[in-house]
Amino acid sequence: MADLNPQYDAMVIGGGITGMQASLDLGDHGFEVLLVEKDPSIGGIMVGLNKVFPTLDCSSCICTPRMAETSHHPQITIQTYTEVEKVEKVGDKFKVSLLLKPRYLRLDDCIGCSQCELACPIDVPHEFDYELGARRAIYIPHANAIPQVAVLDVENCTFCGKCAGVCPVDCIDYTQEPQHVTVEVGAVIVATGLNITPMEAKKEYGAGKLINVMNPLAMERVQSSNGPYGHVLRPSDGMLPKSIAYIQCAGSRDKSLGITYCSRVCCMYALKQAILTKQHDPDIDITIYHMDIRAFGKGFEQFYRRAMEDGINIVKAKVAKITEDENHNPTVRIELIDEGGQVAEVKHDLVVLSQGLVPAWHPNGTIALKEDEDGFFLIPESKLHPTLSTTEGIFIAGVAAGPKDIPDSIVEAGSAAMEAAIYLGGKKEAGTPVEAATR
Amino acid sequence: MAEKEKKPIQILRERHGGMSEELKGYFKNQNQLKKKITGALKSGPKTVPEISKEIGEASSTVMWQLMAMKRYNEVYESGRNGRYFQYTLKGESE
Repeated sequence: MADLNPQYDAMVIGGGITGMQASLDLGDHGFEVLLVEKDPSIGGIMVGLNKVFPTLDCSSCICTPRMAETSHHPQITIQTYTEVEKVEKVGDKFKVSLLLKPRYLRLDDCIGCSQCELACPIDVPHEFDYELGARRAIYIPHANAIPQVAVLDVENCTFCGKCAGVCPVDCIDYTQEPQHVTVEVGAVIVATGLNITPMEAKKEYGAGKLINVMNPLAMERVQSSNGPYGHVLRPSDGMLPKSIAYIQCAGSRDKSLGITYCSRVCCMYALKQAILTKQHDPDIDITIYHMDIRAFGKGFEQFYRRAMEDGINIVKAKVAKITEDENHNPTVRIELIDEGGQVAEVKHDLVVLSQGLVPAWHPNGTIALKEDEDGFFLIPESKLHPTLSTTEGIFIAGVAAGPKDIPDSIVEAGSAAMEAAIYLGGKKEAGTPVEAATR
Repeated sequence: MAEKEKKPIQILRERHGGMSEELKGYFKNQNQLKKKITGALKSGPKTVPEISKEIGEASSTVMWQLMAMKRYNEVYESGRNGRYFQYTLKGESE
């Protein structure tokens, strides 16, 4: 199944926008790069977003060319559906143990026709749509997946064999097993990205049990044209909502959750989602309940003012509790900070919790890296070397080091790639940088 | 007589201990639900609450399964009734 070289100049852990950018920057300088991604496709969080702030560019439209460039780059080997089991420093190199999870089909033969998916008899919640939408047990991860090939989720398989029966190229291979492979690399870039604060974290906000209290990434999918519903509908009953509330700092700046930091992107993504929903239906009433709006970046203040001009209600209030009635209509109990702390209860059709960012990967001994007290990887010289980790030869980029948005993640990817290149001795002696025309 | 060579799907099934009881129950309930939704739509376009009321299942359950059926082209959006879309079985007067 695996066709890996025994050695690479660098390994990048994480195939999101940060990992792809770091891989491209190293690859363009002639280094051989192994890009390892735990999911069946590269693209990370960004490929699933609807639009990006503050430009409102289509997220997948700007992410997919980067994905294509990464997958076609002659210096980059992508290894998807693969976990890093161990990274050990041996002399001046790193010995990396990888677990290659079986897709149960021959990757090079699959043509991504989806016949297997259409024949599969079982619908299961789709992780890409944050379980609001469905996939089959054998499925193409999403429309923009790279590689655009299927993967069999054996935990949800009915073992009917229909997928193999309909495959036009006979690429299904039920006999595949997990493979353990060892490679040697000269440097490592950790670009493992983010999760959001779990919806179950705060019992006052329903602990994830209130169906019309949504996760913000799920809302991105709902707003997307290729999302689970095709429109912004309520998960409880498919109703077009007329009143939507955003709760800021839902999973950040909260001592009770142990997440005391600001997640930096939530104010902006809430404004973005509100503007887009309002564009689609000007009659929708949208309210953002906040402690303060943090619109610090280039174009962000203008974006905030645009939201207000579009008629979005920006209310300074702390939400103490969310409940629901028998029809799953959520009610927020708020303290209105600009009205002397007056308490009010407001009913909405839909609530979106602006959850904070938490690290996606806690290595737990897999790799010799220290974590900071906020759970992100520790950057000992954060002012002057923001991508150097606590271990020589390992570099950190993107949200793995702390909350940040897409442009800042890309900047750090470049910084980490440059630091890795310097560590590896500059321009490769054995080869020359790849000519642009050959890409 | 030589033991009949096992088919690859049998090998996979044995390696994983077959379907779990939980998955078997989930699959059975899903098939029953899809049958009920299909039955309700045979008499004409309906919204999620209308289907839910007719078949006696929670609207959130109907919503998820109906969206799955829409994704795989078993139903389509055929109109609106107030703040709800109506859905029709594929093949029924498109």
